[in-house]
Amino acid sequence: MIVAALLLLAGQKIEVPAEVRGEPGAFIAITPKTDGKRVKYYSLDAGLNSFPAGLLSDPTATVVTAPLPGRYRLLAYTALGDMPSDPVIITVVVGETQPPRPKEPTAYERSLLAIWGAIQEPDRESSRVAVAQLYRQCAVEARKQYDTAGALYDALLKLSAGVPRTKLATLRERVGAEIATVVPDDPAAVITPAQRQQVADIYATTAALLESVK
Amino acid sequence: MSEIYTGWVKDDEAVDQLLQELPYPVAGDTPAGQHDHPLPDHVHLWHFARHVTGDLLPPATQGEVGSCVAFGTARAIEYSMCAEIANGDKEEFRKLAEECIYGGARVEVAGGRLRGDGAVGAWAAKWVSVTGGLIPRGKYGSIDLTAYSVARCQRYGASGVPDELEPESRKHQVMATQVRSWIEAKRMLASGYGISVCSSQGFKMARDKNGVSQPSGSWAHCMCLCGYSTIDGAEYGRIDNSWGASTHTGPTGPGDPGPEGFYASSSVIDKMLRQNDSWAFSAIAGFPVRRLSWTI
Repeated sequence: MIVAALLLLAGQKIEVPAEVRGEPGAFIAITPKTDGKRVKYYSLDAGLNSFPAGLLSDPTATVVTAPLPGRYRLLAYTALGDMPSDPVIITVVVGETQPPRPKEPTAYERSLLAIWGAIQEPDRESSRVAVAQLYRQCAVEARKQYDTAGALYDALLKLSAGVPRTKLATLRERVGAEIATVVPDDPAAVITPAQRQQVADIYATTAALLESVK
Repeated sequence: MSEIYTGWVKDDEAVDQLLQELPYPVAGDTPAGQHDHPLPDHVHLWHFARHVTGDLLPPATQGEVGSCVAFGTARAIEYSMCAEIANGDKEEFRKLAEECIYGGARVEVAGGRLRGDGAVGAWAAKWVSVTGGLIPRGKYGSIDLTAYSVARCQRYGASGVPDELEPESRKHQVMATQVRSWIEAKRMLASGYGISVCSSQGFKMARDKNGVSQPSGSWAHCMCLCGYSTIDGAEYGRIDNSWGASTHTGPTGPGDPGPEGFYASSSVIDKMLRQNDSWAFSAIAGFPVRRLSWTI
C-alpha cells in the first residue's frame, strides 16, 4: 500500500520550460512532459489568451497568444488518480525575441575586412558599390552551364568591363585567390556544377560583405 | 574618306636576321605555341583591355604617315600587356608611343636606309625586343609624348628616337616570336599574346552582319590580330586596323569589339601569316601558356 502510494506520488509530475517566447499575435505552443492525462492552464496576467482546451487534440498541451508585447505568467498543474501535482509557472515572453547572434565571420571574410580597412583609394566607396554589383552578377553567371574553367573565366571577365582592375585591386586579388582554391587555372580544364556553385557562393558571400561594410 | 596610309615593307632578309637573334624565333618553339590542349572556340583579347582599363583600347589612327608597322606592333603589345595584367602580372598598363617604335625600327634598327615611309615588321619587332624597347605615353623632360603626333612620327622616322629616350625604352623590352600559320596564331592568342600581322592582303571596308570583311585588293600593311571567333562552324580572326573608328563600317561581330577593325576568314589570315613578317609579343619571358588568375 505504501509502495503503491509512493508510486502514485512519484508519478504526479509535470515538466514545462521555465520560459517560452513568441511574437505578438502569434500562436505559442506549450507541450509539457507529464504523466497526467490532462493539464490545466490558468493565465495569471491579463492579456494572455489560451486556446480553448477542448479544441486541442492533445489534452496536456496548450496554445497561447498575446496581442501586446510583455511577460506573462501561465500556471499549469495536472493530477494522477486523486493526487494533484504541484503547480508550475511558465513565463511567456511576447515580443522580446532575442535577435539571432551575428554569424562569426569566416577566415576568408576576416581577410577581406582587413584588406578593405587598409584600402585608401579616393573613390573606394563608389568602387565598393561597383565591385559588389559585379560580384552579384558573377554569382549568377557562375551558376550557368560552363564546361571549362576558361569558358567560365571569359564570361566573368566580360562582366568586369567598366570596373577596372585597379579598383579595389588588393581585395579582388584575395577573392581571386579564394576562387582559385575551387577551380583550376588551366583554361581547358573541365569544371563540375558543384565547382561552379562553390564559385557562385564565394562571389555571393563577397558581395554581401561588401554591401555590409562602410 | 581621307586618304589612307599603309606602310609595310617586305624584307625577307631582315626577317631572317632577326630570327637568328631571338631566343624563341618562331611561335612553334614557345610553350604557348606547343600547347596541345583543346583551344576555346573563341578568344577576344579586347575583353582583357576592358577588364584592365575599364574600356576597349581606343581606335588608333596613324594619320598621313606610313607608320602602320608601329601601330600594329604597339597594338599587339598593348593587348599582350592587358592579358598579362589580367592574368596576375603586377605591371601597370600604359598606352605606348607609336612614334618611338616607328623611329626605332626605321633608324635605330635599319640605319635609316629606307627612303620613303614605312617599315619592316621585323624591324619593329627587333626594336621592341632587342635594340630598344617601349616608351609609354607620358612626358620625358622636354619631350611630351602624351598624345600621338603625325609630325613627330615623321620626324622620328627620319632621324630616330631621341637619345635621351633610348635608355628609357630599354627599361621596357618585350619578347617577340614569329607567327607563321593560323594554328600558331590561335595558340598564341589563346595564351593572351597579341600579334602584328604584316602582309599585302587588302580587304573591303564594309563588314557583313557577322563583322566579317571579305578580302579585296592589295594593302602593303600591318595590323593587329587580337582574337578569333567561330561563326557557323568556320573560324575568323579579328583584326584591329589603325585607320580610325569610322573607316570600316557595319556590325562589329562576335564579342563586340571596337569599330576600328573587322573579322577575316582564317584561311585568308593563314595566307597573310605565311608572308613571314608577323610577330607575337610577350612582356613575360618565354611565352608561357596562359594560366587563369581568377581575379575578376
